[in-house]
Amino acid sequence: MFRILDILFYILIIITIAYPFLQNNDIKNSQILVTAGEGFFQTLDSSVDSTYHFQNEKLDIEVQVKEEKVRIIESHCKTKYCVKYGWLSKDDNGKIVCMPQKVIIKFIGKKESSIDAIVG
Amino acid sequence: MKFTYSSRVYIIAVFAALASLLQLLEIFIILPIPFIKIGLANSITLYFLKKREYVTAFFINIIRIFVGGFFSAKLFSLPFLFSLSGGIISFSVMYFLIVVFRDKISIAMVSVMSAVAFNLTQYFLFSKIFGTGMEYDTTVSIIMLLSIPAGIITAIVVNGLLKLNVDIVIDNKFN
Repeated sequence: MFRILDILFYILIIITIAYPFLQNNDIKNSQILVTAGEGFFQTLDSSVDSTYHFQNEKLDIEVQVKEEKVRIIESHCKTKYCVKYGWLSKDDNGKIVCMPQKVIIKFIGKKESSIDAIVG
Repeated sequence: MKFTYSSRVYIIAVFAALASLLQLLEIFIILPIPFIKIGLANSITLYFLKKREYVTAFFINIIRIFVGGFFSAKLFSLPFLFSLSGGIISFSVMYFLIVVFRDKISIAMVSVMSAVAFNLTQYFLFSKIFGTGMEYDTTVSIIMLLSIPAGIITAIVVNGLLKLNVDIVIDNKFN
C-alpha cells in the first residue's frame, strides 16, 4: 500500500501544515478586527476590557474583550458555534467566525489598520 | 467475479446510486467537528479511477453530487455549489495523480490529496463569497490535518473493494 512517492507528498503535507505555526509574527497584535460581510468594519483595542454590542438589520452580536482576549458572548444565530468557540487570544493565529451573520473576529497588528470604524 | 454490462450507462447508474446512498448515509455519522465529512462516496469514484474507467468515474462523481443535493433539499444552494466545485477539483487532482504517477503513488495518498483539495476548494470559495480573504494561517493547517484521516478511511474502503477482484466489463463502450 505504501509507495515511494508517498514520502515526497507526506513531506509536502507536513511542511504545509507546520508553516503557519513556524511563522515569526513580528507585528504586535494589539487590535481586534471585527468584520461582518461588506459594509461593516470595526477595530477594538485589545488592552481595554469592555463589552461591545453590534447591531443592524443583518447583524446582532455581543463581543467581550478582557485581558487581551476576545470572545462572542451572544449571537443571533441558530447554531451558536461562534459563542461555543470561546476565547481567542492574541497569540492564536486563528479567528472567530459566525457564518450565518458573516462575522469574522481576529487580531491584527497596529500597522495593518488605518481605519477605526465603518458602519454601513 | 465478473459482471458484464452492455452499456456504460448501466454501470454509471448503479454506482452513482450507491455513491449517492453513501453520501446521504454520512449525514448520520456525527463527528465532533461540524462541517467535516469522511467522504465515503468518493471511494466509488476512486475505485473506478483506479480501474482506469475515467469517464465512468467522472459521471458517477457528478451525478452523486446532484442526487445528494436533491435529496438533502440543498440543490442549487450555496452548500451545493461548494460541494460541486470541491467535487470537480478533487476529481481533477485524483485523475492527475493516477494518470501521471500510475503505480508509483499509493491509493491512500491519492485519497488524502483529494480530500485536501476538496476542503481547500470549499475554504477558498467561502472566503471569496463572504469576502473574508483567504490567508495562509492555522485554518489551512487544520483543514489539511483533518483531511488526512478522511482520506485514509476512504482509501481503506477502496482497498477493500479492489481486493474483491471484481471485473466490470462493458461490451459496447460508446453506446
